[in-house]
Amino acid sequence: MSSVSMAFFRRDALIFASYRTSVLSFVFGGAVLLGVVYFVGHAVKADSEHLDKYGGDYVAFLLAGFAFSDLFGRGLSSLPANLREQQQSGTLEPLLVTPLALTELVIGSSLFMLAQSIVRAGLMLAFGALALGFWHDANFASLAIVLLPAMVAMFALGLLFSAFVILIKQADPVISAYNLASAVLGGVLFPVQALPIWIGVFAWVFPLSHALSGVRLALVGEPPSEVLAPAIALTVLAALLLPASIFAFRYSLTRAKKEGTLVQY
Amino acid sequence: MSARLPTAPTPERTPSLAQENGALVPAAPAHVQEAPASYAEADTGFPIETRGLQMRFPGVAGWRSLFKKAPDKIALENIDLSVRRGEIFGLLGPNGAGKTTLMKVLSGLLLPSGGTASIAGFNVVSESLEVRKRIGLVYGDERSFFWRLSVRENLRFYATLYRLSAGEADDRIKRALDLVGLTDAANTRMDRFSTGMKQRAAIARGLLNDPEILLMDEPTRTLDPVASRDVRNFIRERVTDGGRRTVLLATNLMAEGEQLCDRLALLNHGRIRFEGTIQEMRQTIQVEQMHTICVSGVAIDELRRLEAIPAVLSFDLTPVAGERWEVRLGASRDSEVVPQVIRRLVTLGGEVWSSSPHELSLEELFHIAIDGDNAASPCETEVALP
Repeated sequence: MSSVSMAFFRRDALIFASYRTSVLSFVFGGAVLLGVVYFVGHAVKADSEHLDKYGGDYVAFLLAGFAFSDLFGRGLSSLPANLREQQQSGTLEPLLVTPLALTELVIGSSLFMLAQSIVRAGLMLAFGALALGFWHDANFASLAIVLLPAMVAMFALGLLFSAFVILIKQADPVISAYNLASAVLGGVLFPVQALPIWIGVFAWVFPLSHALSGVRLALVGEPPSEVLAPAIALTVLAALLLPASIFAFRYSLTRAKKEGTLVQY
Repeated sequence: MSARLPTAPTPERTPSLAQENGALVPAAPAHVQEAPASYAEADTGFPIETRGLQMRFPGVAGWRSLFKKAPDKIALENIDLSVRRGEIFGLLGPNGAGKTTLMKVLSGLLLPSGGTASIAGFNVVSESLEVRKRIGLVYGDERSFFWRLSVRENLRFYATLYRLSAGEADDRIKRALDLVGLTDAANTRMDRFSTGMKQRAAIARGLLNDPEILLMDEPTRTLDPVASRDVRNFIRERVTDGGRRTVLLATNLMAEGEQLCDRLALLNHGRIRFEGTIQEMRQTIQVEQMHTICVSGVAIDELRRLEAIPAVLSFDLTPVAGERWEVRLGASRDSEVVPQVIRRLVTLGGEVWSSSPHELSLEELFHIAIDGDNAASPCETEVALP
C-alpha cells in the first residue's frame, strides 16, 4: 500500500475511532445481521433444487449472500459516499489542490470502508465456518478467481456512481435503486435460477449475481474450472465497466471544474 | 435640514485615467513594471501571470432551463495580471467581484473558459500537477479541515499528500505550528478550535509544502477585529519569508489591502478596474487633494466667496462648536490654494484653529474606481446645519 493510500486509511480510521460508539455499532450491526440470517434461514423451508449446487443449506446460502453482498456493496458505494461527504464537509477542494493523482484519490477514499467490509464479511464467514460448521471444503483458489474480477467490476460501478455524485449531486436515489434491484436480482436472498427466465436475463447484467454464484460455489469446494463461467462473466463486465467509468469520472470532474459545481451539493 | 457636500466630478479629475481593457491604469505606468531592487535576483518571469483570462458559468434558470438556456454568468473577463516575485499582491473587490473564482482558476479547481494563466511558468490547465506542487492555498472557509482530527493529524495527512517523508513532515509540521502559534494545541481536536485557531491552522497547512506561491482567499473573513489584526501582522511579518514567497491575497477589506499589499488589483464584476500600488492608485484616481481648515471670526458670506478662487475644485462649509466653521477644500495636488485661503482668512480677521490635509481612504478610492465618479468621497458626508 502506498504512503498516500495509508494516509487516507489512517485518516478515516482515526475519524471512525473518534466516535465512541462506532466500534460498538459496527459489532452490534453485524451480530443483529447474523441473528436475522440464522433465524430466517431456519424459519424458511427452502428446499429448492437450485440450492443443491450451493450445498443445500439455506442458512449457509443466506450467510454467504449477505457477507459478500455487503463487501461488494461497499466496493460500489464507498467512493461516492466518501466524495459526497467531502463535498458537504468542505474538505474536497483542499485535497484537489494538493499534487494528488486522481487514482490515489479514488483508491484512498475507498480503502477504509472497504477494509471494514472485509472484516465484517470475514467475521460472518468465520461464524458460519466455526460455529455452524459450513464451508470446511472451501476452495480458496476458486474464491480468488471470482473475487478479483468481482471487486474490479464493483469498483468500476462505484466510479460510475461517483460521476453521478459530481454531476447531479443527489445520486443517492440512483444508488439505492441499483442496490435494491441488485439485491433482488443478484441472488442475495434466493438463487437467481429460481427466478422466471425473463427476469433472470436482467440478472445477468448485475455483477453481483455472477459474484455470489461464483463465491458460493467456491465456498462449497468447487474447483476453479467450475467457477470459470461466473468469473468470465465478471471479467467481461469489468472490462466494459472500467474504461467507461474512468471516462465518466474524468468527464464529470472536467465538467464540474468548467461549471464551478465541484463543491456544490 | 441637511446639506450634501459638493460631489460633482470636475473635468480635472479624469484626464490621467487611461482605459485599458476596461481597467483604470496609471497614466505613467513605466515604474510600475520595474522590478524593485529586492527582486533583482529573481528570474524575469512573473510567478503569477494571466492573459485574457475568462470564466463563464452556465446560467441557471431552474425548471425553465429544461426548455430554455439561461444566459451565462460572466465571472471573469479579460483578466491580465502580472504578479512579481516576493510581493504581496492584493485582489480587492466586493462580494461577487470574481476574487475567489480567480483564485480557483489559478489553483486548478476551475477550468477557465478562455485566455491563459500560469503559476511559476506552468500553465494552470495543461500543467496542473506542476502548479499544485508549487502552491499553497489558504481558505477563509473554516470547514476545510477534518474536524474530528487534531491539527497535527490533519497536517500529517496533508504532508503525505505533498510527498513529504515522515521525518520531513514532522519537521515541517512542528515549524508550521510554531509559526502560527498552535504548538500547544497541536493534539487538540479541531472541532474544539476557535475560528481564529482554525484560520491559523489553515495558514499552517498552506505553508506545509513550503510553496513558492501562496494563494490566500479572504483569510480574515470569519475573524473578529483582534484576530484579524493578528493574522494580518502574521502575514506581513512571517508569510512572505523575507520576499522569497509570492502571496496573492484576496480580500474585500480595503484596510487589509492597504496594510498588507505591495500592489493590488481592484476587481469589480469580473473585470480589473485598476492595477498598481496604492500610491499609484491615489495619484491616478485621487486627482484632488482634500484639505480641512477650522476657522472662526469670519462672516459666512466671506467664507462662501472662497469657493470662487479658481484653484478650488470643491468646497464645503460645516458649522462646528464655538461659532467655528470647518472649511473643506478640494484642490489639485500641485496648487498653492491652501496658503492662499489661509492668508485671506487671516486678512479678514479670522482665527485659524487648525489646517490639515485629508487623504482618501482606500475604500473611498475603491468606490471612485468602480463607480467612475466621486460618489464615495468623504465630502459626501451629510451634516446638520443649524
